[in-house]
Amino acid sequence: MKKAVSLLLVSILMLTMLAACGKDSKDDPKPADTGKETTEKTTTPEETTAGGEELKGKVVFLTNRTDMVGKEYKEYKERFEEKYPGVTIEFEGILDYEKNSKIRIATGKFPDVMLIGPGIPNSDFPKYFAPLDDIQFTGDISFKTLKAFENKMYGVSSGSSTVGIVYNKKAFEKAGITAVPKTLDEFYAAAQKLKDAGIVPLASNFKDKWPLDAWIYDVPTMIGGVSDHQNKRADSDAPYTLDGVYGQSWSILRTLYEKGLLEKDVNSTNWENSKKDVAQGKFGMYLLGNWVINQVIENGAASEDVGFFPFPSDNSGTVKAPLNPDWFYAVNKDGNVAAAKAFVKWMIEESGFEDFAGLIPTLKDKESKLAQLAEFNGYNPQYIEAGPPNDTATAIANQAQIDQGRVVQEFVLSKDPQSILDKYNKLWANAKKNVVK
Amino acid sequence: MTKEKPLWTVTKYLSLLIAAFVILFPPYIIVTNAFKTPDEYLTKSTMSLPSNFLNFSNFSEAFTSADMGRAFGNTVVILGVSLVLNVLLGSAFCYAVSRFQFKLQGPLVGLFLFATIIPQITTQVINYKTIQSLDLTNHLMGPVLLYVGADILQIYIYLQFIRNIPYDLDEAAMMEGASLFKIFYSIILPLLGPATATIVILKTIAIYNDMYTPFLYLSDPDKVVVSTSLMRFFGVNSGDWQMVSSAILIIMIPTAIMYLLMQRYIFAGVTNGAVK
Amino acid sequence: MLSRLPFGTQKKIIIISFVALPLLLLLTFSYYPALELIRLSFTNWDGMSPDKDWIGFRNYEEVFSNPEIFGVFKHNVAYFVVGIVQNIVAIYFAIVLNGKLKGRYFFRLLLFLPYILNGVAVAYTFGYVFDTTNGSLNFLLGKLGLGSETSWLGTESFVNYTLASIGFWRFMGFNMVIYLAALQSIPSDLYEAASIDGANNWQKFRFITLPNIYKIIELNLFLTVTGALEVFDLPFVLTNGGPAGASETFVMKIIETAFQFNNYGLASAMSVVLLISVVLVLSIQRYFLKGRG
Repeated sequence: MKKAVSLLLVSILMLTMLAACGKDSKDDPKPADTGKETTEKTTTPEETTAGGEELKGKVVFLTNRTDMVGKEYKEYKERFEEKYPGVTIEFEGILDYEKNSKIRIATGKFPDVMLIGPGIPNSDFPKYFAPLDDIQFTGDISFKTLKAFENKMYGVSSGSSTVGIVYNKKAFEKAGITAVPKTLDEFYAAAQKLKDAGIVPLASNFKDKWPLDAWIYDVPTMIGGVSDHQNKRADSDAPYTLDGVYGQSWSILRTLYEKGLLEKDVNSTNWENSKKDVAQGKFGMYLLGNWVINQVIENGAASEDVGFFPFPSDNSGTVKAPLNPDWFYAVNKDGNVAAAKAFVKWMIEESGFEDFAGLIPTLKDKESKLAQLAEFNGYNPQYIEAGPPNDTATAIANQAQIDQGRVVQEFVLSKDPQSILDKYNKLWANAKKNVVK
Repeated sequence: MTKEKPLWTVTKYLSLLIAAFVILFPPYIIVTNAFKTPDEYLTKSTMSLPSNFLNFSNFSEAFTSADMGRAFGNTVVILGVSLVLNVLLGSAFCYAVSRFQFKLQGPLVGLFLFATIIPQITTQVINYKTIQSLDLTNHLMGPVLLYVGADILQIYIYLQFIRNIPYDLDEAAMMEGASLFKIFYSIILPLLGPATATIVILKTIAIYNDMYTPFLYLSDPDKVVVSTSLMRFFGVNSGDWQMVSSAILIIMIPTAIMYLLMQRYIFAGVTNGAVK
Repeated sequence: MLSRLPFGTQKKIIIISFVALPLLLLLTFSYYPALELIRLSFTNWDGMSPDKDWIGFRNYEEVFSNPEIFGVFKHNVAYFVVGIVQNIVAIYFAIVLNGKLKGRYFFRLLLFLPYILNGVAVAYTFGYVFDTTNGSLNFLLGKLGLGSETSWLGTESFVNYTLASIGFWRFMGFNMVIYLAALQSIPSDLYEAASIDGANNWQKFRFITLPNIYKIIELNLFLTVTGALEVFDLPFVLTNGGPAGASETFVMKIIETAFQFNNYGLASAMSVVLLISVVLVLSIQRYFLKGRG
């Protein structure tokens, strides 16, 4: 009822407005939705066969890469439309992707191809997206089961990345480090040498929170040797313990902090500037994904001066490395499904996006062009692939409102780290009671 | 006029000088970045001066690669329509509310006052739905619809001015047989000049720099506006700050010029006109 | 044509036609979402899904049972304090620049300049100003022989004041222009008459200027309070709520709850609570202003 009234109000308003500004709207010859209408007509007949010459209509891809709009995407558009002459592809870039894409999805009308991150529970996929199992890729792809529900795949990873130590070789040379550290103790020693040479050993970018993700997701994976630790939290009333994977991982960061092996003031770090500092050797290392390598190079480092090795999370001498997906492509179930699928296939196989972004290709038998990965693989890390999330664990975390980035910050800065763990375990246990009945 | 005390004069100039320093100190970095060559930007300290303040290459590159020509075009359309409607609707509203006695005067202004308190950020989802149901997403008139609404600041400024316009003027015009409508647009509206100039400046800058609304409602690259064109220099976890700095300076120029021009109208003084 | 109608009818037409559109816009884009917000605060909506369940007062119970949620309000005090100072400084400069002064056009532009600067630039700029090791502020203080190791954005006790001072830098010129405009609305013959009566500058300020711009001062204070309680973009960009949550604000928590924890219902309940809190604070403020005036 309320809606009807307001809609009426709005329509009256609109008529008045349009009358008042009709002159200006001729700037925009087509109503915003023409594309969508043609779209709906073409969806049904070719639902089953992705690819083929008869694809038609407009496909809109909502991307988070605002920097590629009008540049790389322009070229993608030309190449894609040459291959599929009936399809028009539009790239729309937005910032703050998780939030703004949710607002879009909430209205029920959203672009044909979307990116999905961790924000949407897997069980909700059928409400919004089309299954993508029938896309015929030229080879096997990674992370088929991550964004899947009831044996149907709803998301295709746009690329993968591993996490390790990205370092400046010149800085290592200057500090007299001849071989990369293979154990945690060697790592501390190397960091100390960097510090003695006047170099900030590890750029944590502590303040920004997101760079701490490696300590939340990846180092625990390396320590435990399995990637399902975030899911396992659902079985426990006290998932964060000092001797557990999280406590061990965060204690390493805490040790680095206490020994002064991070930035001088971790509460005042500057991400953009840290890339320049690593490139120039003022900072020695990052613990981040391989995607950062290209950014360091863009900030002035020569490619041969940037190295990449697995992070030794313990003293065993065998190194492990996680393999993580990036954002996933998903297709709006009410959009131009067939053409959108062709676009996803094209992005994975032909666009060259993963090389531009410095990611590992999703097609398993495709070689990465990133030189540093060869060095990384030379240390023979044992790769541990990320598994699908568990909706229960996510639901508890959401209910408890635990921002793990902040937990790490508190853990490192607090005089009594155990009390921080206790605080969050209590929140967790309470939330678990509400979620699991 | 009484002569000013020297102490007051010294205080005045001293405080202005301090203010000038405090204001110019932070943006220093934007200005230096904008003039640095890529090489200088990467190798020299962020705080250092560029070697050449005549290096305008960043500016031309920023202008073209951010599609700023189109962005300025779109922004001008949005600004033009929003401001004209906003000023007309706002001043008319205030005229009606302040010149006539009727029951709902107080509550009406109160309604606008209260609306300021509603946390904006959470109403986004609902407003997006409304605009979408009108088919105005990715349409320049979508944001316009959100911008034309009068805000409390504008209402207070207009009310403040209308209150100080003597009612004798209205009465004199009525004697000559002018309609109320004519009184509004031929007497009141022109006398509101300084208020309108103030509102136009403040509104222009607010709309011009607003990023949230165009990002949500105008994601189509053809509908790029000035504030969102900046984002062409931001990737995931990375920003091309040399280009951003140049772009920011380019963006500032039209607003600064507009302010300089409008300034004269703001300070023309309401009473210098018809009253004397 | 219109003038032939009787005054009463004209008046009615003017009132209705002049009020209708602004009111309609206000209802559509402010009050309708606010009502929806209240409705959603009684549901468990996740922010995307077409379906949601009515869960009564559960969200409100949660807001009031979680001490953390209200704790962040104390971070807003800094914005409030700095906001008051900002208004006083703005009135001061408005009066200075309203009078006769060499270079006043230049200073009027200069003081307004920060408001013209894009928000992205402001955040970036101050990231460099307040950086502990490479920051321009510590560099300057070091040159002056004062301490140069202060962690402006990393010290729990004053991080909120640091952030609020950026708001001061940015919006003082904005307030100043509003005050300048208000000063312009005061008829100049009032001052002339006062001069003839032998009033000094302070008396003119106290008995002519202040009462005449009282409404605008009240409005600016209102905006300051509302802004202080609803601030989020500065801490969001510059500290991300850190160190360890010391600069987190209520609206940041709302956004996090809505879009990161997928709990739009709870976020709506928090917004409603925020709304009520603002109204409470404003009523108290009004009560005290009335009491004195």
